Amino acid sequence: MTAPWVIRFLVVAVAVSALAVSYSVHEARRLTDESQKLQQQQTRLESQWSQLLLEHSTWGSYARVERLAREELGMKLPKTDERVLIRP
Amino acid sequence: MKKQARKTRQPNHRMRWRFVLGFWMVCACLLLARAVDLQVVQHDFLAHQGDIRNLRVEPLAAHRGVIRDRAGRPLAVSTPVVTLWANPREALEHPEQWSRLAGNSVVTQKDFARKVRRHESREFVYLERGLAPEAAKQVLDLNIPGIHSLTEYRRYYPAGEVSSHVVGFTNIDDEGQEGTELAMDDHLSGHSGRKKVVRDLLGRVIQDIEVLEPAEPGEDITLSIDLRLQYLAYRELLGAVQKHKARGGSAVVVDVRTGEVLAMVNQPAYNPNNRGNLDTAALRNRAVTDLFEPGSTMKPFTVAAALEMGMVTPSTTINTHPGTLRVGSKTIRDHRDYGVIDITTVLTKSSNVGTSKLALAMDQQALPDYLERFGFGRATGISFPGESDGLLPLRSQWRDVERAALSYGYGLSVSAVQLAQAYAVLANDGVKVPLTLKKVDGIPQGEQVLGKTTARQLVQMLETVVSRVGTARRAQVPGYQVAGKTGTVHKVVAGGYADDNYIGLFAGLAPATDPRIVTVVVIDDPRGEDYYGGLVAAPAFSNIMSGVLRTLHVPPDKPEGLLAGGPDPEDRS
Repeated sequence: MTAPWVIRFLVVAVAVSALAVSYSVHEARRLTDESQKLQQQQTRLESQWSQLLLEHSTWGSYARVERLAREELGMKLPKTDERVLIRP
Repeated sequence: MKKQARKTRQPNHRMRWRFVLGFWMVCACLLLARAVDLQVVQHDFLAHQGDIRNLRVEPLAAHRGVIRDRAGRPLAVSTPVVTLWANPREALEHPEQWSRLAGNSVVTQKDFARKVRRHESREFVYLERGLAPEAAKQVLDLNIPGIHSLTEYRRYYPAGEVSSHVVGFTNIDDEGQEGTELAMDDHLSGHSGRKKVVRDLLGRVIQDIEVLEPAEPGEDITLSIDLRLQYLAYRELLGAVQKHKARGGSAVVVDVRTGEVLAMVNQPAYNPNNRGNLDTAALRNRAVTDLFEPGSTMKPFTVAAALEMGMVTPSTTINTHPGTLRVGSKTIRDHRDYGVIDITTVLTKSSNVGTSKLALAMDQQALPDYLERFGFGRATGISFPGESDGLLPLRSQWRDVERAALSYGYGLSVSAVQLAQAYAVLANDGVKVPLTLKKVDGIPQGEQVLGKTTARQLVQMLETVVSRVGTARRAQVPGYQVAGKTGTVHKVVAGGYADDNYIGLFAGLAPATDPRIVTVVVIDDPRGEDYYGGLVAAPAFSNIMSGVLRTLHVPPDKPEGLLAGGPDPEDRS
């Protein structure tokens, strides 16, 4: 039973590559699943973003900011004689 | 016994060997045959069956493009929503499972049973469209046979009614219905794709096989609108319309150099996020679709034609005595007898007699030709659905009455954007730059339609309109020199001109020394005490213009005005 070293080497190589194939298939599936999850997360975040955007635009609408500035903070537009123009 | 055993051992051994060998060979043959059967004979069938169990075609979602204002602020955004649908056939196989819907607020058991029973023979029926993902999850987690979901997109409009007419809206199927959503539908809408995947026992996607059709998301569109100015114009127009109990109104703000529309608002408006009880009259983008006779706001162009043809100079005098002029069977009237005045004063006082005399002194086709150069009678090409061409009659023979009427803005119809475009030509040294609703990089190539000197002269003449002696003192903007023209026209109703329905107009530009902005304000049918353009439209113009100039950091060109006072921008009721 003294096979040439080439044969022995190939036998080992086949075994190793067989293991590698199953490992890489497993890894590919795991990564695919992960990318799916990330895509779902993206969708979720997108919808969250658009909801926050809507909220943001409600709270930060110019009409509301102006009302708060005038009524609660007592701000007003400076009158003409209160402005000073600075020329560079 | 021992002997006997020894005797039989040898042949028995061989027989057993052969038997075992034969048995295993038969087994091997059977296995081989079975392998050939599975791998060769039945391969296609089995592979197909396997694929049916594992392979799925999944949609690749493609969302609609975002519409933004010039600074990138979102005006229309798509957000994913979940639509629940049922397969009645599947559902009817397991009616006992429906009770799990009991107490569910998203899809009630009663509702579900009714929909499924009514469409028994179908395989698709909508249960609930456009749900928030969390709400849909409540139902999907119940795992009721026959209930499925699909992801769709819903449009939200953060700016609401402020940008309603410009942006428009989509229907439930995500197709553009109005405004930019409709005009740019091809660019905005995406094409959803399909891909083939392998799913495992738990329904997880474990392998992407191939993309059958790539998803093409819609393009984003950046408008020329500046949301800050849009809001400002909206607020001021709303104020003016309410104060004067007007039926409607429009305001258009244009960047003179680039032709970009910075703001375009109308009254009445609507909330695109909640179109439940929508009045269809509110849908119109009046600034683009509605036509009116421009009245006195047309006079600068009559004068421009006269100046350009070398007939007159700004100081040429013209006799408007006695304040009336009989042309054919019609009498043209001024407010009062202005006597002998120069051309500048014709504009300052808005003399109908003055412009009529100018028009009658021109060749028959000269005035219509000039008006056409300013873009009247032709759509501006801002790519907005339903844009009106306006009406500039083409005649081979112009009667004197018609030419005189044209000179002070009757007998032709324009839209607010056309008027804005024409004033932008005056403001831009006579160069006509095409108006656009899309953001422009750099300064587009324009067309010189009026001499530079003439345009400058006209701006100077129009400055007098907002002076103390002019018709539109209320259009003044503190700190800036404004130039513009008022207009008050009788509305056209069935059978002629209405006696007491008017349109109040103001079209103007600022700063007059180096014009940057043109603003047009149209107040339709003010039913309060005032109806003159100088009283209803000019104050709104002043408020919009002062806000726009301040927001865009345009340096004041009349700094002495800072101390001299002027109309107080706070003073509006």
